Amino acid sequence: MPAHPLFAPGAPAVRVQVACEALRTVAVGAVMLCVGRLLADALDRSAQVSVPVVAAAVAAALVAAATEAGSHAVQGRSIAAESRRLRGALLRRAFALGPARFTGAQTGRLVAMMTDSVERVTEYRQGYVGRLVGAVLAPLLTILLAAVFVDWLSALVLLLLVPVIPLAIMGFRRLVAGVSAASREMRMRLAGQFLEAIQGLPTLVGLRAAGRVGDRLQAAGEQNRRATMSLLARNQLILFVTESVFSLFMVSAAVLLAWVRHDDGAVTVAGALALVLLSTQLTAPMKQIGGFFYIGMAGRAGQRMMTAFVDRGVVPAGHAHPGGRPDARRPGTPAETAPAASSPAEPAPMRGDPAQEGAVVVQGVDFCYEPDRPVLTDVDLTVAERETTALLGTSGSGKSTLLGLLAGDLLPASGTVHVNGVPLTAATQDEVRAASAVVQQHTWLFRASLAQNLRIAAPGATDEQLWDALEQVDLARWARTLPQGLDTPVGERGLGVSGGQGQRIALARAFLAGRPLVILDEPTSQVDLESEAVIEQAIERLGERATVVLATHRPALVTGRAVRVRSGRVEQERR
Amino acid sequence: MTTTAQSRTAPLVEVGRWLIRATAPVLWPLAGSVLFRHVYFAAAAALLGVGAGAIASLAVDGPTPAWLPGTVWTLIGVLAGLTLVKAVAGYLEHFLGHWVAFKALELLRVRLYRALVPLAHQAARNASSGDLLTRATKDVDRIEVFFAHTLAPAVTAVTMPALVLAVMGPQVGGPAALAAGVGLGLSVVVVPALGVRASQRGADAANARRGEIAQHVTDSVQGMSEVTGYGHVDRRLEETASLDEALQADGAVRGRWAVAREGAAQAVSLATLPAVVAAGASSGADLVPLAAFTAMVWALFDATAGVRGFAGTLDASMAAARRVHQIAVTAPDVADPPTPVPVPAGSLGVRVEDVDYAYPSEAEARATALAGITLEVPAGSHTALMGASGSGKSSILRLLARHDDATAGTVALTGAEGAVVPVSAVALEDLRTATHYVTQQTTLFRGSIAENLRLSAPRAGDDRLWEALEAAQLAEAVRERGGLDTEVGEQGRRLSGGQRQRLGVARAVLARPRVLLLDEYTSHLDPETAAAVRAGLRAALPEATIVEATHTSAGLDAADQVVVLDAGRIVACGRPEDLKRGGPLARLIARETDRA
Repeated sequence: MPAHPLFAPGAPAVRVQVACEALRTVAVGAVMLCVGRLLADALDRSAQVSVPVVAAAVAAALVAAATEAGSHAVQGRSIAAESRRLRGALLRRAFALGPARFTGAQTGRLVAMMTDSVERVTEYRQGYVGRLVGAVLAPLLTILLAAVFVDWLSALVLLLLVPVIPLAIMGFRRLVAGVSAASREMRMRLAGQFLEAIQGLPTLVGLRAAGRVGDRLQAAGEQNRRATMSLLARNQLILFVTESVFSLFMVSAAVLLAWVRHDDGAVTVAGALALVLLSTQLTAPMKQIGGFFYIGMAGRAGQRMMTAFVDRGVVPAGHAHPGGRPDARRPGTPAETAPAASSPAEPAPMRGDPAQEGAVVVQGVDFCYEPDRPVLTDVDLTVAERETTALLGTSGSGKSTLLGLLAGDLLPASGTVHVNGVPLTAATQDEVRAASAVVQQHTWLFRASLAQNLRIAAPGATDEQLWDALEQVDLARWARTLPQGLDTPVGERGLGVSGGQGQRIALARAFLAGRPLVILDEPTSQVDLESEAVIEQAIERLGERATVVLATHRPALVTGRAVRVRSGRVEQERR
Repeated sequence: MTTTAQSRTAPLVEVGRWLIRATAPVLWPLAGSVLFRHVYFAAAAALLGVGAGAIASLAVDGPTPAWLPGTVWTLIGVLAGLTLVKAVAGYLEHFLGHWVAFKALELLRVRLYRALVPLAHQAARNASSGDLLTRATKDVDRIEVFFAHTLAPAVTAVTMPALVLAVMGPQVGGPAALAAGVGLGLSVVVVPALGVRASQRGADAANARRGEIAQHVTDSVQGMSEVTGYGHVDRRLEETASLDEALQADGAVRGRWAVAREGAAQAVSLATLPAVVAAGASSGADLVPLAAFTAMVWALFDATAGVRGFAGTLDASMAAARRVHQIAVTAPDVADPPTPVPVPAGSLGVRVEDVDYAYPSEAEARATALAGITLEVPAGSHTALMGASGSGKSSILRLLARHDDATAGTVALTGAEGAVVPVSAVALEDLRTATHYVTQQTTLFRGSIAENLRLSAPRAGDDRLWEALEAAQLAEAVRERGGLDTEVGEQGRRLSGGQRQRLGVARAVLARPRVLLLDEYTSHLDPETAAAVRAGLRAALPEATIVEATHTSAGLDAADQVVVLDAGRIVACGRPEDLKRGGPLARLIARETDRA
């Protein structure tokens, strides 16, 4: 099992579970030995029911019950604790990678990994592995008990038979491996076709093809089902083999040994009967085989996904693409180093000019998301205090990446970025972030009240300040008509807010934050005309009190300076 | 889906009856599955019983009972035979279980599909309903698990002990049978019922909490820019952690009861054995049968395990069945009129009068999608609806195709000599024949290009398919890739976005509609190809009335009329060359991608 550090702390709970399971096996064995003794006494006719033996049996039963309960309790608790730790670690990692590294399509998968996959992985690691190890230990411990209390020779024979089981099952599995894979594939394909038809149903209805496709699906489904069943008929033979092997080599062998050794006089009747009863413990691993395929597969798939996410390659700063300068000043610290834990900030190589409030100085910056695929090359850009600068360029030109650097969400591979007088490094990332307010192309509203959504930018803001900010983006009138005013819930399942209103809320946040730099990424590309006019005016007012850097398609939106970004290079131009 | 809210409370009995009716034709082999599970456990119990009995009979003087093997060879034969029976029964039980499950799965899938057909548009209207479709397919799978792996074990857990007690009881006498009966009864009836209600409440609370966590994580991931930008990373992480703590607390009660059940089950099964021996021995039972019986009871506790957790599985399965049932009984928002009016003959125009439209939604206040829309599209003309995303242009097309009905006003087709027929008065089949809707994302299905094209014209010959591909400027690409039999892959992924879009245009040509509804249908094409596709489509369908939604100016000049929409209202309407001079259209065009 690949012991990725992400999963390492899960082990102690598993060890406790294994210990519980082992102790339980021994306790159950003890009860069986006592029951054998009691039956032997009864057969003897002369002997009374032995109270100490009954007491010992009850005591062992209680120990077994307690360890069984303990194993489940540890399992439940460690699943909960591990879910929490894992979810926290994954979310922390996502935050460390920062918003600039995720596209819309990835966020859905990210959420599924932090919810569904966390459940699958903990169910496997904390819920199943301990039980599996316990089940594998059970026959060995039981054989040990038999050796000590019943008959060493019988125990030895059983021990020698143990390896036959995995060998026989694995050998057979290899024989049917192809069949098994084919059957799985067929089921997946059928499920896939069905899902595809359901999801494309609007199209099929529009084309008047829904009925025809339904008939075809039904026919294909039936045909596939028949094929699957005939495969399954062969595939399920593995079950037959497993059953036969366990029954024959463990249970029947134990029963036969008990009979033969008792007949020989080598084993007492009590020991022989106990051996018969103990034989059921020898089949414990059989009951965990099924889980291995369902819980195990899902859990390990989730584990792989998480490992890949945590190890996700971030091109370390300093490892610029070949075009980059080799004498980069910054050492090769990975971009995702936790900002708070890092070493003290490096001495800033240059201050002075960039120390102006909200000013931006970018010098010789290279950036890439993947090695050898430069996104920005040797970029220089200076934006003075309270200057408004527009970045013009087609999609894919590198505008958003440049904004990500200014916002402190990305770190340059080489070159320097100064924002508000602070040199951008892994250590100062949060400081740089705190200098700016960012408005993206789409604004996400949190499932909370309108007021809470605004206070994200300024936790201490008074209601009056919130109303002021709403006034700045001409939403105050609208907010007054809401059923609960500022306390109206918005976001998913809350009040429906149009794209334009969302962008205006984001701008209101920028007003509230009062930060020296405002960064806007195509704020009006998807909004209605009224919102567009409001947003343009609001940006102008923001420009009176803060430095504004804005990416846009529209030369018309530009009131100040315009800079063109083309294929990752910045071309200066004045208007 | 608006009507589902009312059916959410469908009583369990009704859901159960529906489920049994839906799957009745395939249920009989389930009886076989249950039967073989009995055989399986009978053989398992007999293996131990025969062994214990044979050993006991060596110890007591007297004749060996007739049902016990006397020599080592007969013992070997009996053990091997029982092993074989057990393995065969186990095989048949699972095979039949799967047989029923797959059959039921197929039946339910087809049923779900057919139930969804009239609901297709309303179900696909928003993203979360899209999840509903995916969930419905998962639900069907969950019902399968119920049939295949839940029902037989639960039944067997009750009947198997009863059978063994009935057969062996007379041989071992009342007290021993009673002791075994009490132990097995506790294991089957009492232990599984421990804290069931509290556990159910805990499970409900935990599920609700999981939903809350998923929502919180979604907010954190989607709103990451705000979280990191405004310095809320630690607060968000703390909130997630405290939600997880709450989840842990929700699960604690259920966890404690589960621990209690497992512990109690273990204690009961183990304590039963000495009790049986003591009761049998002190009541003077026949000792050989008693030894056999004791071993059999021990084996039987394995069979009783099937009943634990049954309540939880049953609940999840019934919740799944309820959701599928809900879809099956949902009345469609849009249905055929009781007495349909025929579509007027000849060339068709479109008339929209005073139309308001709001998306059906569970949220109380929802921005209206359209307000006071009035629009006349003469037969054979080309009208372009221009506006930003969310301005309402697609909503107009959807109302014309009757994916939903307007909240107020009329949407109608106009024919020769002043005939006006509301789209809601026409049979849906006729409306879908007269109109054809080309969306921005063409949905393709696994299969060949020919199969995907023939969805809109099942009897079209290859020559017609090629004609349509020529019109859509796709013929050359198809020829290069290997012709009409080229596979498009899952969801058409082997084709590029632009190729998929042109395949959608070819479908439109094959459908030969009288009214063509186009929704951003050239968005993935470069300007030259887009212009060629426009020209090809017009040439292939010279008579068709075209209503096109677009947010770019490309191709506006081909339109006879441009309608500019903003926030659900018409803000300008006229000939393109007039509107381009200034005003809202000019402002929208100014937004367009800087192609420098």
